[in-house]
Amino acid sequence: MGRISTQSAGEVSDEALLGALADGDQQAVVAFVRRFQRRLFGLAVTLVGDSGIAEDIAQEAFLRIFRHASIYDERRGSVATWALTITRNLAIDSLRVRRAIPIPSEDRVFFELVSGYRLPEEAALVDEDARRARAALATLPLEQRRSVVLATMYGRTAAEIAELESIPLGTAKSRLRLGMARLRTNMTRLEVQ
Amino acid sequence: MSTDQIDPKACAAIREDLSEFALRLVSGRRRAEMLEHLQTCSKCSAQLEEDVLVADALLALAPEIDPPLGFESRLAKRLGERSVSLRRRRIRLAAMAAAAAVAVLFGFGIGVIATGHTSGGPASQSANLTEARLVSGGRAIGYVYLASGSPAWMFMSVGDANWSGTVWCEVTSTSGNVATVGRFDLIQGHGAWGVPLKDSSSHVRSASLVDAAGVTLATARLTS
Ligand SMILES: [Zn+2]
Repeated sequence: MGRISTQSAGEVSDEALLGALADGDQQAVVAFVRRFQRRLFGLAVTLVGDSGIAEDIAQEAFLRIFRHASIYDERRGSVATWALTITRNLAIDSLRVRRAIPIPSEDRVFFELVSGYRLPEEAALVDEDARRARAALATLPLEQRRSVVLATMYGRTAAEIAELESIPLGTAKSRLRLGMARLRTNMTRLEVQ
Repeated sequence: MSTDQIDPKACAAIREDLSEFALRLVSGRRRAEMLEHLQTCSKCSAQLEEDVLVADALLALAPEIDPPLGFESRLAKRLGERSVSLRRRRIRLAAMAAAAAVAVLFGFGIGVIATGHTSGGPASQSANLTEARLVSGGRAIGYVYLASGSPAWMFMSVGDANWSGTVWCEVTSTSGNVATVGRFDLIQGHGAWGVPLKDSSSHVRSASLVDAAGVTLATARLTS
């Protein structure tokens, strides 16, 4: 599976930065926050749809990353993936508690992902892993793509997707399952290429 | 139980919900059922692992958005508060002693002492107890105690909840995995129980009470 990298050429690697952080390097803390805050906040706000709650989640994610920097296991994925996973889990847990669900259809990120139409200003930011994920998603039938995006990026359960799209629960479940299975195959293939 | 003894129909039913499970979207009773199956079925576990990888890879699509102004300074403040809490450790020692007393009071003491002995040395020294308040809607409704050892044990006492009936306890590890470790009943807002944990206690980040519908009722943060 692809590794998400956030550093530009000449910068210290994400892994090295996390290592310095684990050793208690205060400058590394600042550098790490500056490098990741836009991504962690971006994911959190996508999932919860509320800037205030998203800030709280992104901050909590940073605190957990700092606390557990020394136990990061690179075999489980890149530093960015790990950081984003922590953020997603916190955001999904907060969704479960709040029960309120933001409406995704007006969201430009959602629009972009389910339509495949890339908005020009975002294009420059898309890195290699995002490009690969996007390419894999593009191969899915639209219904499957939408279900996968709703579940992975917006934390929607199959039941919530069924209600949102007014489709039977079984249909929502099978779309998600088939979409994930297809992505698995496609991502492995794209990885090999 | 080995994998080949598992009913294929059971696997098919698990596969229905496996993608959602990988995305942390399954909770409560269903999560508990699935965890039970996954513990014994290597095929479904392997499938889960792949779904998790796909889900993680899709996180690369998260948009980059500037956090609100002042994000860094507010984070710095929270980091500062964390180092203050380290200085409070001395005071917390007294709280832990109180917690140990409560554990004995609830009849958990035997468990702590027994597990403490497995690593040798006197129980009172090897039984390292961590205590955390169980919070619901900003209000403390009980305590969670984590006793290290092999296996580690978790104890929970709820004394002042606004709800009654069956609740499930979910434990979140530092790596973000959620496991349902048990279910128990609250009678008129009261209840207490203890359970051995399969994973080491040092990896427990938090413990939550979840109702049958998957709603988190209360959470205790067990930071190490
Ligand atoms: Zn199975």
